[in-house]
Amino acid sequence: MTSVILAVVFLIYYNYMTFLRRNFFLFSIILLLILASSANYYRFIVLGDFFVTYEAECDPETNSCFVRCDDDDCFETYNYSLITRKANKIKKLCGENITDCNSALSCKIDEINCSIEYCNAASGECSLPDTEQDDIDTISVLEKF
Amino acid sequence: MICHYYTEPLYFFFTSDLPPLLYYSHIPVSILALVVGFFIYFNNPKRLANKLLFAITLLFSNWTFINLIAWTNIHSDILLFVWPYFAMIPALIAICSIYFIYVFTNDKDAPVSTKLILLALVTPVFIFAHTDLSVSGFNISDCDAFGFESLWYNAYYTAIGAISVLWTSYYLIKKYFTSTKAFKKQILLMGLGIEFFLITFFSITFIASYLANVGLVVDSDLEFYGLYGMAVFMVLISVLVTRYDTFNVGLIASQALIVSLLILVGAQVTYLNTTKISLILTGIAFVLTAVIGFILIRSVKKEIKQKQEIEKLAGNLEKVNDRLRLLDKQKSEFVSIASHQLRSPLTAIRGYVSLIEEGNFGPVPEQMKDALQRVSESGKFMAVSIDDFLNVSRIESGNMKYDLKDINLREQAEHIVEDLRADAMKRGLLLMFKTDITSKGVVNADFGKTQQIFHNLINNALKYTLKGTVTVFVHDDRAKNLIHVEFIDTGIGISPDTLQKLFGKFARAKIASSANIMGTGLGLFVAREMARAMKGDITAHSEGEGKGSRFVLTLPLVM
Repeated sequence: MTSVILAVVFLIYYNYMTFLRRNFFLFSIILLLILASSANYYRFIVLGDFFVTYEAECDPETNSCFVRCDDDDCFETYNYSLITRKANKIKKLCGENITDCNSALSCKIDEINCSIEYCNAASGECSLPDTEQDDIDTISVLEKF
Repeated sequence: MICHYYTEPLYFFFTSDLPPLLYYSHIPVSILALVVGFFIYFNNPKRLANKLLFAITLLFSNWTFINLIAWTNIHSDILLFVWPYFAMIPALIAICSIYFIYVFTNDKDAPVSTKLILLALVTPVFIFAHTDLSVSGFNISDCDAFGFESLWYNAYYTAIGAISVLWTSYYLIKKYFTSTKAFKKQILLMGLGIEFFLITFFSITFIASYLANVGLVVDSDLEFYGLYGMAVFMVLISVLVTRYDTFNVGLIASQALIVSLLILVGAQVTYLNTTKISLILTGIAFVLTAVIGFILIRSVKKEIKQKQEIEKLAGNLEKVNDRLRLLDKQKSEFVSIASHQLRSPLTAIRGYVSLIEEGNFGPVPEQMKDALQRVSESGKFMAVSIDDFLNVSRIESGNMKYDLKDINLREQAEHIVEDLRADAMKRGLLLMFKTDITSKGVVNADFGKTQQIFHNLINNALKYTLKGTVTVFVHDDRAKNLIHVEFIDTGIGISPDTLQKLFGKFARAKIASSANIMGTGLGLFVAREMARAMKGDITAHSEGEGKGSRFVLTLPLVM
């Protein structure tokens, strides 16, 4: 009886190994895909462990801001700075939408991985603060708190 | 986190503020690839090449699907989850293409070492897909991750694409020089298709991604054009399938092509302005394509049915032909045996009749002479018939022997005419010999066979001429190095219908039976076969019944 069971187990194991050997290319790719997809899912969906960059309001009187036209003829302009921070952090502060979230407009004092980028000459057209207009052409400030 | 500057897509990826070419380049091409790949796979799912082609089309369709999500979705986490697939899927397409071309060119599975190399090439792409090396962040303002991509990672998977182009080219070129003419054409079509697809897909997507990464372009339409390489590849695959594979696949491929065409036309609705006129025009185009497609598929089906019937008939015909050949061989053997058995007693009969006629067994009573003459003539005819049967039997079995020597054909013709002149005179006919040659009239032929041909043709002329003359005219053509012997009579002539089948076995002029002229209908067949075996020919000419006839024996001159 034992020998029969052992023979059956061996047969199943042998067939299984033969099947794996024959299709190892396909199985390897499927395995790689599953592992990579799981890791992606865990990092980006579960942890939200990535940076987000978004536009925040900027006062042209105190900072060198990025400028964007708000209409086709460019009668009205919009001044902004770029804030980069971790997605999971901003999600905790503001939820999915940052449009009406004041906490999103600045970095907290003890917050790591948060930066505000102001305009410089290489970035394009800037709106310079009045006090520095004469002696500085462009300003680039990276504030870290 | 959502991109608040953009609107949520309708039905997962439909938004109004995106370039219309996005949908037209993605959806129809993707469906075309899926349809062709799907039909080829299900036509023969066990074949490895079919599986791999299906895998390539499936991966490509997945890539376009993910690309559409990237263009339209506004959720940063979802977008970043799918972003690494822009590297993983092209890398898989590249190695599957190499594997596919190996199987296509060698008609066997790739060696384990090759598969291991391919796996080793793609593994880093998968291992680093979720790390900052692949993508580290997201720009909510632009709603993309181009600014957070690693150039090295992009360069690596694009390099795999470049390797696939070189590797597949190597397989195709190597096989091209050692394969048959028919397979060379297949290699050429396959090579054009896959190389065009790989080059456009990898180069354009990389260039578009690179330009967006360095900020030179925003929302570039450039990458859309990279997808059309797949459409070209699929069309060439369809050509390969219909032209070089079995007809079943041909029908499937044509159906797939029509379905794809309908989708392509139908897809216009997604990017046309939805004005009444444009919708009506698209509708008309759709209906027209459907009708033409239906007619095309029906005609292909009909053609296939006819082809199947013809193949079945040809198969049956071949069997019947084999059976006929066997019967013909058995008949020739029977005739040969029977003729041999007849000839010996006939020789004895003719010999004894001749001895009786000559009075070797005592005086022959007057009333018996006529009967003996009839027996003698019938015996002679029977001997000639048996010779004809034996000759036909030998010709058909390929056992006729020719003893080729240089002989003077002009002299031979003249001697035979002299021998037969008395016989002609008995019939009240004039047998003449004429010659007009500048050569010596020497040919390389079997003397016995030419003798037989002369006897046959002169006797024929005498038999079928009731009054007038029979002329044997020898002349040559030095330019063509030929000698012609013409047998011209003023006899009953030959109708055009009879003329066409005169040299067939048992072929006799209709008038011959009514004129009570004896013959087997084998003489001319045997004579022409003999002439042809000696590199010559016999032709027959007549202006019609009652207008005489002319037979021409032609043989190559030696000197």
